[in-house]
Amino acid sequence: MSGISIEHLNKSYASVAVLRDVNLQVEDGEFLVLLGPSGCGKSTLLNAIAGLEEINSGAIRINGADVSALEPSQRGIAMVFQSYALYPTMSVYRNMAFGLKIAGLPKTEVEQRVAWAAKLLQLDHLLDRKPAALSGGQRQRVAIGRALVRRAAVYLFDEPLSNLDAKLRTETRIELKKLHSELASTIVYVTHDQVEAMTLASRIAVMNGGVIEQCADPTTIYDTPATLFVAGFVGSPAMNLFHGRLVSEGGQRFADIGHARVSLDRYRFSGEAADQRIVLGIRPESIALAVEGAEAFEAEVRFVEPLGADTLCWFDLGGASYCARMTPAAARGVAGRRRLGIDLDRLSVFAEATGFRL
Amino acid sequence: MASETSPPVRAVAASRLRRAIAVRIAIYVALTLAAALFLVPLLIMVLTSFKTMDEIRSGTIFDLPHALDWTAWLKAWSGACTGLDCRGISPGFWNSVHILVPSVILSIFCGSITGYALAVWRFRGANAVLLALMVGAFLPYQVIIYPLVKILSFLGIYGSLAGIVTLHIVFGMPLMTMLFRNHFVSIPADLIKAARVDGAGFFRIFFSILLPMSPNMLIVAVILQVTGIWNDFLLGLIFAGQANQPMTVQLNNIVVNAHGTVEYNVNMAATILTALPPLLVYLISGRYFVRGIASGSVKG
Repeated sequence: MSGISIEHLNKSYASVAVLRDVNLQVEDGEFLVLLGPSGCGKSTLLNAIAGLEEINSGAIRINGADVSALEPSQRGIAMVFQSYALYPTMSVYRNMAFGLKIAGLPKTEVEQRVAWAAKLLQLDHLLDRKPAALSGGQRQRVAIGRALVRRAAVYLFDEPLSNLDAKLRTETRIELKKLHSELASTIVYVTHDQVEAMTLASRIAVMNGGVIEQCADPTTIYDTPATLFVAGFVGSPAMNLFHGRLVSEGGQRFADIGHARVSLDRYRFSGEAADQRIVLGIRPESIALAVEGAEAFEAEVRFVEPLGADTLCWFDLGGASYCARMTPAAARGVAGRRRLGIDLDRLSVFAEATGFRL
Repeated sequence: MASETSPPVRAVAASRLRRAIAVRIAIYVALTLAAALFLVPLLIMVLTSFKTMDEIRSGTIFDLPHALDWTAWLKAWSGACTGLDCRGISPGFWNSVHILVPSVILSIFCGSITGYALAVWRFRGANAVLLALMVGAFLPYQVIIYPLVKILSFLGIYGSLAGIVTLHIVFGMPLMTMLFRNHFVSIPADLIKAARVDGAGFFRIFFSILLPMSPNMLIVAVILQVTGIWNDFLLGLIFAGQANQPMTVQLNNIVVNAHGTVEYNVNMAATILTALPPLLVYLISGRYFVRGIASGSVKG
């Protein structure tokens, strides 16, 4: 079993805490994505797993063995770097063979593995080239090949696609997904790009300020974010957040957001929740033009942004700007004051004080 | 409209061109004068070395020699006397080579590996080491000669080849370390991390990855060290011992040792011979020198 288990991991630079009591389980064969904004500690966590950053306290287990004190090369990991980090003076072949030679593998084995990776990544005809003579996408594939030949228990990716152009990024993303399903290897992948995270991950760990805010499969992250931060970070455009109060009246519960009251009858609270100040989160696609008789509120539509597949309607409510995602047909000619309806099954309610989901 | 404005525009352009040409000419004149100023002593040396003593006594220093007479050169190389020893400066040449080769190789090796350690492995106290080396670079070594004599005699290598080579390594450290540290600092950290994941250790990262990336730096280091060590006089005089006196010291002995007539032609030839090796190094590798100095700044 080649999972990773991280327990109570702490890391700080001087007095600045970068990772705070991080706990994380990565199952065998899982594609785990660490997602978060710059400086959230995701790369530090990855480097800690790799053994490239020393940790202050806690334990990191790979395959059940505590590797906290081991050198990177002894941990059974392979890593792909954002800048590719290919050895500039070595040919593609020597780049991929370097680690194997150090490990003292017999020459035939080295050749075999490099040939296998080169074939898998379509690098056969490039083996004699130096990295400088390769395109960005080719360099990326060499970097992945150099990791693959190690036949490691765990593959670590540090924002591997961020230096590629948009088209190549999409292609490589699909390649990576295919590769993962073929090799069934355990992968930890760092990115700040939520599209990459949503498409690649079997689970996403959303990080902020050195803490894992939520770790779950992409659908759960999207539909039921555990904290306000996750709600605001995942999704584009971001989830609409309305500040208001939770009120109970005659056995019914409402979110009073000033200019409207939203029934929370169908909202599943995770526990007891007293009346308090809350933040109501509604995804743009959960807001639509209201049909007659449905629960709705009035708002001023400011402008529409047609994106092709769908259209964004920006409207004002109580001085703040919010967004609804509609089909182009529904959004045609929308302007002025309109009644907007809400999908009551897809709400998120957070305590304003703590930011946690209620 | 265009035809109305063009004459004055053309006039402005023409005056600008004239200015540019004038500036160009001034630059060339200044540079030529400066070059001449530096070349005149060399020219006098070359001219004098080919003259016979009679010519030197009868003419001015700028007179051309009557014929290309190599006698003085031969005598300088293998016949001039320092005291009772009349083998010219050729023994000095070989002494210098014996000092130069290990000193250059070892000082570059020690400096580059120290620079690598300081740049890549930010160990505790790295900054203190760097500061100490900086201070070392600015310390005039004349002030520590006496303690050095004591230290080297204590170690039993005073007046030996090992002693002078050790000193050249030590005195080469600040500059070599700084040179390589600043070069290695510009190498992306991910490259080192990738090598560590691949299992490469301290020395393998240095020899397999970083050194092959630094040919220009190595050439710069070789030029600096060859020139510095070859031209050294004081350390060689004090620490090398009688048997290993470098060419510069023997040149001095020949020049000041003249009893009776001063053989200017022989002295000039001997001086040129002594100055020749660093000069050749510059001529051969000057191109790389400029490239190496520039590459550090451009890469950033």
